[in-house]
Amino acid sequence: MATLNELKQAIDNLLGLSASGRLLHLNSNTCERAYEAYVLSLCADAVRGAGGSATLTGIKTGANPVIVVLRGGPGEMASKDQDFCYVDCVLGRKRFEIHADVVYEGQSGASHEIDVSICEATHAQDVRQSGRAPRTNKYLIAAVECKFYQSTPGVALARTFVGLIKDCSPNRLNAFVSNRSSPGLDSFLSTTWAPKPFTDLTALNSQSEGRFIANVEQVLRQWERSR
Amino acid sequence: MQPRLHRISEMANGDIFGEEWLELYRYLLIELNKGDYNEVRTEIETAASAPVVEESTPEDEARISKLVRGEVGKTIIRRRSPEEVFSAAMEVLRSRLEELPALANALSRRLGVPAQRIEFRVDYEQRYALVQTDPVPLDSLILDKEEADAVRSALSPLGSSATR
Repeated sequence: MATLNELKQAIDNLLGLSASGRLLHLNSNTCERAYEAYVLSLCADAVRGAGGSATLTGIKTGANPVIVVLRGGPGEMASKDQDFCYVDCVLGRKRFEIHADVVYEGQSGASHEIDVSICEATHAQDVRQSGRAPRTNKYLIAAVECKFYQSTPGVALARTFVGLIKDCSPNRLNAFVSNRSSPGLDSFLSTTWAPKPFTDLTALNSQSEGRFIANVEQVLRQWERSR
Repeated sequence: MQPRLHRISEMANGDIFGEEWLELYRYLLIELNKGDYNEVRTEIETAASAPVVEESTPEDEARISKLVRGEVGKTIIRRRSPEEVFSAAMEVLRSRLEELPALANALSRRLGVPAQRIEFRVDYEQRYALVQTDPVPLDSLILDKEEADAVRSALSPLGSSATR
């Protein structure tokens, strides 16, 4: 049976570990970006699952860079300050890219950061050539909002993402992805106008990973067959 | 309505109760302060001070319908009990110490790139920053097996995996 002193000792033991020290000193921003990059990797797996190819590409160095540089904060798709990576994908007749943390220009002209986005390669090439922002128009195939919650989630972020979706052309997939759920969040996301919810999506839950990948795969297959 | 919230009775043998949970919670905050884990401490304080949102039971509904004439919501918003406060704090620690390394590992595996070759860098903000931020290697988010075992066993008496 644990006494108060034993539990205090357990806290001391936990905080005394060097691994705990390393992880607890990370800033929350890093946790968020890691989660977004993880979701990007799930999308790349979905492309492969659909029978396509997904190649990590550095904006400066091209396919399969030695160091894979992921965005530590939102930025411009055309930025060449760092060798930022995206995933260059081919599925049947379609070529498209998966990006993390890129700022898009909405239909209204306002800027929106989209955590993970899938857009047609021709549009992304135009963006890189012109240095302008990508648009949330018909070239945007999927927009995914990602949130790594460290406690019970509320609905604020999902509510904000609903506003962002309204500033996009109808996309193939608008998804809200988080590592946790709460009854309030689930209720909010169960409404017809809400983004497709993928809560409880973590690397510790292979079922939720499978469900997300299968959904992205299906969206891409349907899109590939269109036109 | 709080499926993730660990019941303390499942957590640590329930030998302490009431104000002692608050004492343990405050002890945790003090120790985090000593270690300069300021951001995590803030996360914990935010989580612990958030109210609990619960949906009422059919019995509650029947009772309320006798008390009021008009329609009221089904949600009950209440403040956390001392054991729930400590439990919320542990949720934050578990996210950092178990979930984060797992997803960092999965990221490296799914991209097919060793973690040592993946890093996070910021964009143009860097140019204007007073202090230049070093790239964050993915490696720093990953625990090796020995470290992961040590963390798991250190979390165990605090009930971190009770609902997993």
